[in-house]
Amino acid sequence: MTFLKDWREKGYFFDLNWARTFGETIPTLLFLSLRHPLLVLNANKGCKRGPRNLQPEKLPYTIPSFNDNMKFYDSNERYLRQTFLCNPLEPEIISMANKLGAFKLSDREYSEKVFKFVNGNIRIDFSPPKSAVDCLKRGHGTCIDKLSLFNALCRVAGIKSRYRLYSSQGVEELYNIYMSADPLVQKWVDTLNFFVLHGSAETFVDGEWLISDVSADFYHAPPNKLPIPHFGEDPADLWIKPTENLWTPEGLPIGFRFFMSLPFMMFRGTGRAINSNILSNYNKGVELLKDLDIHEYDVIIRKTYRPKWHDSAKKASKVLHDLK
Amino acid sequence: MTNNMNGIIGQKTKELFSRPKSDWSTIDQMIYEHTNYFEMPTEKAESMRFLSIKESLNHHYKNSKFYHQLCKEYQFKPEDITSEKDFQKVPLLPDTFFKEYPKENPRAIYDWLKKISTVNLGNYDYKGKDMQGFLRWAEQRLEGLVNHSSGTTGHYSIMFRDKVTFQRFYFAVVTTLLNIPPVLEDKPHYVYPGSPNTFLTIGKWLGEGGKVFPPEQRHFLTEQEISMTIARLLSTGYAKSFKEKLILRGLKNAMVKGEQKLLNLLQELDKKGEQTIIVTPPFQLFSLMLKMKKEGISLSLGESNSVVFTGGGWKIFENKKVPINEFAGVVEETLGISADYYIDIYGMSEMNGLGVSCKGGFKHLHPWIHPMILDDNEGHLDFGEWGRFAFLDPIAHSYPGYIMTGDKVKLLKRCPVCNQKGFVLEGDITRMAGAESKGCANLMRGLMAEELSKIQSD
Repeated sequence: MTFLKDWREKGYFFDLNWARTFGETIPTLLFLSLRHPLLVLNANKGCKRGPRNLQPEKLPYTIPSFNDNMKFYDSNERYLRQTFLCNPLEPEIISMANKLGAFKLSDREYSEKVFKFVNGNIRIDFSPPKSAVDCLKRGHGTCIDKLSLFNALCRVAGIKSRYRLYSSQGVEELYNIYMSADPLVQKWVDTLNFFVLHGSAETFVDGEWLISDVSADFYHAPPNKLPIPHFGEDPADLWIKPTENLWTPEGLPIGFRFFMSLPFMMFRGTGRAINSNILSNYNKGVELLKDLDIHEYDVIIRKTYRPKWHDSAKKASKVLHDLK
Repeated sequence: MTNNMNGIIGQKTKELFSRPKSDWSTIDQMIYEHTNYFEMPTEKAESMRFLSIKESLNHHYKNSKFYHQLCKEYQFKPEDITSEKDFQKVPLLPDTFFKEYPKENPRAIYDWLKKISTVNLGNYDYKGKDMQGFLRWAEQRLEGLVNHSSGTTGHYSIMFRDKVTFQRFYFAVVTTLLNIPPVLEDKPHYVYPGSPNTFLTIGKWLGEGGKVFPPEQRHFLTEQEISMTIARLLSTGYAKSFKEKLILRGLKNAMVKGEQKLLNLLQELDKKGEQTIIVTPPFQLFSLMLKMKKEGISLSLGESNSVVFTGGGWKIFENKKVPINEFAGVVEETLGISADYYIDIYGMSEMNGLGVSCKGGFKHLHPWIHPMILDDNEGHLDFGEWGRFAFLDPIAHSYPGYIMTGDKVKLLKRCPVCNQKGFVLEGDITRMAGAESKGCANLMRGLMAEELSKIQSD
């Protein structure tokens, strides 16, 4: 029965955390879809020309060819081994890890480099789930895909890394990019007052688990006057925070790809609308960063930045709602 | 500013809105003992405001389960306030909060009100089903004042003031306004070109406030009841059914006729040399004054110490907005009332205080209001910067009066033009980007827009 223990540890089952997360959110989405069928219909019809995903025409990086001289860490130890959609032993992952300085840099330096690579090069979008290596080869993915890639690149270098999953509340700027793009998603989030699932990373460096977030690429920040994320910096202090059901599994459940693909099949227009918004914001960011040094921008913006949580105006309403 | 409170009207004001001295707290002292509010020495105003707000915070923290919980969310306790600077920590409610009742039916609103109210409402024994009847019931239960906004966005803001809040607020407001004319005669005429028979904020406030005048001296455009449904019908201009179309048409005719009636009344009062106190939304008076100019009518109401108050802003007539000095010029030209006695008032249904314009057009805030200006991230801005207006209002006894509004203002520590004391707002107050258009003075848009356009294009 060792494999059952292993599977449980690896997070291969949809456990209570997943049940709670989806149990609290999916019924609301279904109810809204039934109550406002026009929203679904319009979402699917309304943004036919929006991009299905944000895969770049040309990858902004090259993945070296794998060769036998490349080092990699092969272990069955927790948080270092392969989990569903996160295989650190794929040749492309190994070669990219070597290119980024695995086994040459200190754990902290290397993790930080991986953090910058994923944040600076992999485009965030709204697309069906993919594995770490697919995310690397295609150059785009959701927050969870990017997180899988980050974890794989850390694990292959012998640095423990895991998922930090939660229902989230973002700052107003994120709400405007992602949620307000589509009336159905907006209604869903407004009803729940949080978004169903978000993932940050937890990486074990110098004896402690460091929280980082690789979801939003760097180009996201300047158009919205948000600070640039740093490695080891909990996004909850700045731009996205857990509201419900936080847990830190080693991996994703088997079936995750199938279940998470369903919304993309059912609400195709929604995905395209969100991608359109993200793309437009990305282009603005690229334009702004042409004339602006990213570090300089970050230093300036952090002097005055204060997160404006989307729920701040609604805090009173939430308190009233929860009052018995 | 004069002291006109010793005459008959002043006595009536005290009779209607005074509170027993034994029940007074610091805010009552501020209101009832120092009635020249804009002349209160700065240090005294500061210390009394500080104490009033502290007492108010303690009251709501102790007696409102809802506000107590909200404070916990913000990890705030009233004892955290040790200086005026700490007021920045006070948890605020957005003004939209007061329209977040779950359903528009009496029982649901009662349950919602019970949750947000700091005072005990007693049991629900309203037997009817209509909202208008419920508001009347609630007002009797509170022995205070209930009012609602025009419902332009589909939801009304509903404010419930208990007896304590109502008396404090009305005493302060009526006293402020009555102290403005150079002399207050014993029987001045009070003119409001709207209906007092309503719970709609402006009508309700002016209807109740008008009670300090003898009944025969009060003049309204119509006595017809403006119910919640009619208010919404008027503010949106959208009639859903044939019946509503008929109501709308009837009201429109009544209002247009009423304008002529109002003009006749003013001419008659002018002829008799009677002191007249006119309170009106600015665009409505502007429409009347344009009509007067067109017909070559000019009055000399100023000779009888008459006064004009406008309030509620220009709202949807923003594109037709006339600068305050120009407006004052037209008032002088048509009504014969000098610029010194044309006063524009800034207020809102959630605030128990006013901003009263001075000759420089700056709005002087009542000294018990602690104003704050917020940036886009709800951070606090300094004096002289434009931002979102928020305030702490210690008069509010039945609800926490710590409100973040949708108005964009610039706050100054003192008036750069006149010698009156206290905080002032620059005259040009607009709505923040994204904030919904607001104001019950907006109500007349369906009725007056055509008329105003007609007159202006002539």
